[in-house]
Amino acid sequence: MKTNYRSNDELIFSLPDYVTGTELEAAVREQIEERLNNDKTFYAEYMKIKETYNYMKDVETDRAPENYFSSLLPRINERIESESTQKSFWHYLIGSWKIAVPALTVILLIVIFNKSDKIENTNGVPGINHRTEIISADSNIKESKEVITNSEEEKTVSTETVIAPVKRKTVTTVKKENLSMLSESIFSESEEEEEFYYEDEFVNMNESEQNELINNLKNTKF
Amino acid sequence: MYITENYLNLNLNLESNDNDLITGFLNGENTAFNYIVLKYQKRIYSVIRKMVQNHDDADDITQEVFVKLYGSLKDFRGESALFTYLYKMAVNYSLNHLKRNKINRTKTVQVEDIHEISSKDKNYDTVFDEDLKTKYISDAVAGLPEQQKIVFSLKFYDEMTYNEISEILNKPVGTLKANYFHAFNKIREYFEKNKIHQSI
Repeated sequence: MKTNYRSNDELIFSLPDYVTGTELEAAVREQIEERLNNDKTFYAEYMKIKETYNYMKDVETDRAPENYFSSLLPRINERIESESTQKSFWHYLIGSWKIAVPALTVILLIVIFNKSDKIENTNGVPGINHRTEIISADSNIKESKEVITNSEEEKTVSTETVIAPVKRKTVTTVKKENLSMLSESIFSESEEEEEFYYEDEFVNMNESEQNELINNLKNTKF
Repeated sequence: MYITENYLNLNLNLESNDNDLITGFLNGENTAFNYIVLKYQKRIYSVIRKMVQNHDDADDITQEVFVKLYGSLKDFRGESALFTYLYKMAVNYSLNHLKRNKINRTKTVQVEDIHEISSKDKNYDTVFDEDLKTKYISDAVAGLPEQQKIVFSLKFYDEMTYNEISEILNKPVGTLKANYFHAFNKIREYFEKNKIHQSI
């Protein structure tokens, strides 16, 4: 009795290879032959596979239509070419987007910046008036200082005499102001608001306080 | 770039081994790719056709496999043989196709198709018998479970070794042997069920 016998399954699963005569170790072949002589069930199994194989061998199934293979290569090449064209189109699109997106972003930013500038300029017109008012107010204060210096009586000059020319001058100054002043005014809005605050404060002062302030101003270079 | 055999480079030919063809292709010799197609087209078509059981689908998948090969050859590292690589693609593409179309059961072969491909030299009765036989066998193979069908096709028709099939399908040899045996049994059962066994 030989040792190293394959399991029953292993021998059965090797039957197709025994029948077709392929890929079978000599030892396995011997064991199969020995089993075929002694085991009827095993032999029946073998016969089934053999009959099936004999029926199927030499029958060519699923044959391709005539001339199919002579036309396959050109069609494959055609497909490769069309796919590479499609690919290159997408590559071109992707490549162009790499440039187009930043360029569009820059253009968009420029447009937005320009628009916001225009809006600010339009909204800034009253501001410009304020600026001119302040400038003219400054000159009026100087004028008023001179007036005060010239005559002690004029110390009692009312706030109306100071403010009134300011208002008058505002109207005239706006007309005379050139466009370069417009741009300046944009950057000085906070400043003018502050100055307005002082002007309002000045108006709200009583007479003695106003005089004191004027005296103080007189003693300064401002 | 419609390269036919007229343009094929003299240094390479259909007898060139796969490594030479791949090297040629990687060195810009596009004709090398054409030789690969010519060398393997029948086997690849055959394995796909047996799986999808339809010429049009098999044709489409065969083209797809070679187009894919064209794109991936530059990355081919030679870890497996070229034909194994191709078979693997063919099997995977066919399986994907089957999954997409949910073709799990038998799809019969059109009798008209069989007549179309018959040999003209044989007499009608012989041709008809053989056509019927072809139809029975095709139906029997088509009715196999997917795994058995692939193994049977690669082993029986393409005469591949278990090791080669194992590399393609990533399955142990023992499992493949069992699949092959069960495939034979199922085909036999189909014949018996349809009383084809009488003619065996």
